[in-house]
Amino acid sequence: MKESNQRKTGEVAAILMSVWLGIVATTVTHLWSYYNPLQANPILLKMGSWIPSWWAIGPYTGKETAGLVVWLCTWAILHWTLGRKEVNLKPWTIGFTIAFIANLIILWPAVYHTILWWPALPNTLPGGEG
Amino acid sequence: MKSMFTARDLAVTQASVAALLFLSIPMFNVIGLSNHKLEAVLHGLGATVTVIMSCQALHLTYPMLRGKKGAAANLEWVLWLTSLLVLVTIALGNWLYIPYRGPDGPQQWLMYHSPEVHLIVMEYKEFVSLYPLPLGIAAAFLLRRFRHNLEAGSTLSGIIALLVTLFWICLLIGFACGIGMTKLKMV
Repeated sequence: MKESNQRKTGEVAAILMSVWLGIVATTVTHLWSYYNPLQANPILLKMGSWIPSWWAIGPYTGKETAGLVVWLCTWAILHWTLGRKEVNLKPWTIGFTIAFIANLIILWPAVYHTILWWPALPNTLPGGEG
Repeated sequence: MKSMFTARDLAVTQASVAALLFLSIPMFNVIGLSNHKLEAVLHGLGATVTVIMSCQALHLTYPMLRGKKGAAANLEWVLWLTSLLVLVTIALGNWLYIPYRGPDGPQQWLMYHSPEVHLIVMEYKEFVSLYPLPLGIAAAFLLRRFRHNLEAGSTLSGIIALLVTLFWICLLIGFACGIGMTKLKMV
């Protein structure tokens, strides 16, 4: 009981921040792999190659790995830095909620495909391949 | 005359029947036309179990928010267990993703026949379904660290409830999109 009274609200902020950064890491790597597949996909495949059958699952394994690593690493770093301070949780809660929803919106493929471009469909090009 | 059953009896009946019948949905695949039944059924069962358990977790936030004794500890273990099952279901989803994107698989079929199903629904759900893992672990970890001085109506209990709500929403997005896709094309 005594020990738990000493816990700082910074720990909560560290968790919110790291969860969001991990989520954003999957979004950013996904957009990168769409924007520049020739550069991104070999790197993502390499990053995902600790997952069994990574070669059959594809660059998705690298995106998962990026999310996992960013989430856990930023959590560890923020827990030992931000987690030792007292913070006002209200702006953190509002910021996290807005940032979380913003990510859900930008990840909706109709949104980022409209901003970037839509992929060529396999049966719409001369020669048949997309 | 007193009623023969209590509100609790009715709630337990509803939960049991809902769980049993919802679990039968992925089991239809056993007598279905899937080419990868084991992967499909296991991933479907995992998705169904985690959605049901996340509903229970969401219900357990209400007594936690009111500051009922023991509610935080109860919610915490449900969250740990559900997060573990979410991890298992993600791994099973990766396994099912192999035949999905393989030659002559549903991805190819959908790109020719109904590209928006792959380009929008699948591309969205494969990422949103990952979010419950950090969200569930975050909420469980906060309960572990702060449950002894968690006050009713505090900002912190609100944040935990927010995380559990997002956990449930993201699981349900994955569940609805997944079921929707299997209605259109089986792996």
